[in-house]
This record gives sequence, structure tokens and C-alpha cells, in this order.
Amino acid sequence: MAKYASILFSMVLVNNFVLVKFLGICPFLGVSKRFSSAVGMGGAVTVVMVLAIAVTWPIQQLLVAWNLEYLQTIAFILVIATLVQLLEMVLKRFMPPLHRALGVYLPLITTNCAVLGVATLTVDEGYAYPEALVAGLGAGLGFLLAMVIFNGVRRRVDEAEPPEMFRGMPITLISAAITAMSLMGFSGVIEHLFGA
Amino acid sequence: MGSLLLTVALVAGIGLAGSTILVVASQKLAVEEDERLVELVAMLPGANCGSCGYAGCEAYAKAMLDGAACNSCGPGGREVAQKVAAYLGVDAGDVVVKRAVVACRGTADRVVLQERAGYQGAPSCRSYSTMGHLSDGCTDGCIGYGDCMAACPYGAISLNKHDVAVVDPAICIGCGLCTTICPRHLISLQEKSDVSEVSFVLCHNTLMGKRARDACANTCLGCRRCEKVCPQHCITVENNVAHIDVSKCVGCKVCMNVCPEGAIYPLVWVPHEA
Repeated sequence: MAKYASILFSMVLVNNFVLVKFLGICPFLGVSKRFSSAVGMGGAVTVVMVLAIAVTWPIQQLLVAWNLEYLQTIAFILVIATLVQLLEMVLKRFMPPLHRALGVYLPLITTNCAVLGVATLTVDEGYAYPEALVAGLGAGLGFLLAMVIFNGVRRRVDEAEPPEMFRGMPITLISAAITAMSLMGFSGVIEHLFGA
Repeated sequence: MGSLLLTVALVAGIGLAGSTILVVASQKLAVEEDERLVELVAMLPGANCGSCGYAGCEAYAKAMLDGAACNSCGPGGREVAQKVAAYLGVDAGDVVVKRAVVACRGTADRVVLQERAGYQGAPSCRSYSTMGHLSDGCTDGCIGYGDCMAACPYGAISLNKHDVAVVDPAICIGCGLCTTICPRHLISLQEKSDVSEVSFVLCHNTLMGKRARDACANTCLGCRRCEKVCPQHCITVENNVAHIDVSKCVGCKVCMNVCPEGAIYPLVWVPHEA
């Protein structure tokens, strides 16, 4: 059990995909303006990540068995693209307001490097199937956490009325960097907590 | 050769499996979209002002498809209502034309208090009003920093020579965006009636008698003379300010003549050319 907890927390805090590994920055900056769409995006990415690992992990075993590891990227992207399209249909059918709020960023999850990143990194780590699934869940929750934290930061920044030249993307990037630095403080925590 | 075939087969297999899932899903999860919706949204002005009572133009278009009235669009007015009604094959009904009115014709607060209060904060009525009441005179009139002017997407509001906001009825389309901005709630939407010139009290001053007169050169004293003289009984005095029910006013102008301060003005309805 400790093994799974260690993987989960290290994915959420220590190896946070957005704020530590700097993957998936596009939706992180694009849809973090409003709380509801930030949470929606985080949820959508979490679902895609877990499903992507559930499908890509067996495919990776197949690729290894047939000596076709070089096909990893194209095979994974195919799977992820399918999943994102599926998710888009589901959202359009059951949550039209969220579908509208996410807009173009929803199909862009396809090219979200965080999703491809979590699929390839769990393979590189050599996780077993359940471990890989937990890692995917952790990565998704980490993304959700980063979105929610950054949404709060952004709202504060907007209210603080930054100087005109910094307004918009410049101050957003600066505050993203400072937010990311705060997560650096978690490195080493997991080793002490779980003795891994 | 064998591995090449395997490669192609594998990628094609994944692609095929994925596309099969998507085809099945798209049939199961298909959302029926009314193509009339897109055309209706295109007909509406697209200001998303909310004067129709819906969240935006798209929400209103959706409501009209479900049978809501076609004449609620303030900015669109008669023209849009008729266009939409013709498209949907229903009766357009009467279009209520609304115009915003700023109920103050005195001198702006910031001009009156320039020397006494010396307000140096942000040049915004809403910031100014958070300072509390800075004077013992009229605290109900226009502040004069023009927050409503900035809020008007059509540039219909300007400041007159006393820095009081005035709405140009020829430009105003009655979207009502300014009515929520004014911290003193001076701006209201008035429905156009059949009478060409209805009377309207351009004052919100709640002070009474002499104090009101000292505070402002153009004020309602709360003397109730108009209330007594109105043949339609459409004037009520509340909190020392007369209020005229525009829908009942017949435009006889008796109240204007009897008002000792000249605080009652005719509302001139200039037909809006779209």
C-alpha cells in the first residue's frame, strides 16, 4: 500500500507534471482564468491520463515483445487522440456548459505533452500495471492541483492591477514561475515520508 | 519484410480499433443540434447585453426556439424582432422600446466638492462612492466621473457642462448595461409610451425644502404640488422625491408648469434608427 501512496504523492507533489516537469503548459495558461473551467480541465486531463495509461501500458508490452519500441510515440498518440475525441463526445452530450467553457483546449489535450509524457514516463520507470495506473491518476491529480492553485494566483494577480506592460501573459508567466518554485520545496519529502 | 508488415499492421490495427470505437460512440452520443439556432444567433445583434433577460444572445435564441417571445431584444428593437418572427413564422408582437435616463440635472458631486473634500482617489464613481457621504448637501445625485460613460458600448452617454451624465436617446438602444454601474442608482430604463413627451423628474434628492434648495439649483423639494395637480394621479412623492409613473402619463405638462424648481422635464423619444 505504501508503494502506491508513495507513487501517488510523488506524482502529485514532487514530480508535478505542470509545475515541476513543465509539461502541459498550454492548457495550464489557457484555461486557468476561471475556477470552473480550471477544475473541468483538470478533471478531463485526469480521466484522459488514467485511460491512456490503461490502454498504452498493454500496447507497450506488445511493442516490446515484437521489438517495435520505436513505434511508441505514434502508437501512444493514436490512442490518446481516440480517447480525447471520445471524451469530447461524452462532454458534449452530458456537460454542454463545460464543453463550451473548455472550447478549443479540449481537443488540444490530444497534443498535451503531459498526457504523452505520463504514458512514456511510466513505461520508462518500469511500473507494473496497477502502479502505472496509480501514477497516471497521480499525474492527473497533480495537474488538477496545479490548475486550481494557479487559478487562485491568477485571480489575485488580476485584482492587484499589475503595471500595464506586465498585464496579461507576462505577469501570468512570472507568477507561474513563482508558483512552480514553491513546489520545488517538496523534493525529498516523499523519501522521508515513505522511506522509499 | 515480416517486421515491416507487423509494423504497418500494428499501427493500422490501433487506428482501426480507435476509429471503430469513435464511430460507435458518435452514433450513441450524438447531440441533435438545431441548425436554426445558428441562424437565429446570427440575426441577433450579438451584444450579449442581457436586456432580454437571458444569459446572452445564444441563450435567448435557444429560448425563442422553445417558444419565448421574439420582442425582448432591446438593442435589436423592432427590426430584429420582425426578422426573427418572420424566420420562425410567429407574430412579432409589440416591441417595447426602452431608453436609459439619468435622473439628475444638477451639478456633479465632484465639481461641488472639489474644494471642500479634495478627493484624490481613482477617477471613478464607484471608488468615490465607497468614501461614504462627503457632503451634507445632496448625496443622491450624479458623481460625474462617468463610470456609465465607460460602460456604454455605444457611446450614448456624455457629460454635460455641469459634468452630469446625459444619455443621448438617439444613440441609446436600451441595453441597460449602465443601469447596474451607477453607484447611486440614478439610471433607469424607461419604456416608450404612445405619448410623444412624457414628464419625468430628473432628481433623486431626498433632502427636503430649504436644504434641498441650498444643495442644488435643480432639485425636487418634495413639495407635493405636482402630486396634487396631476389629472392622472400618476405622481407619487416618496422620500421627498416625486416619482412619475411614465406608463400612465398623458403628457399634459401640468406638473412641469407647477413645479417651483423646474425639476420635471419632458422625456423626448427620438426614434432609434438601426
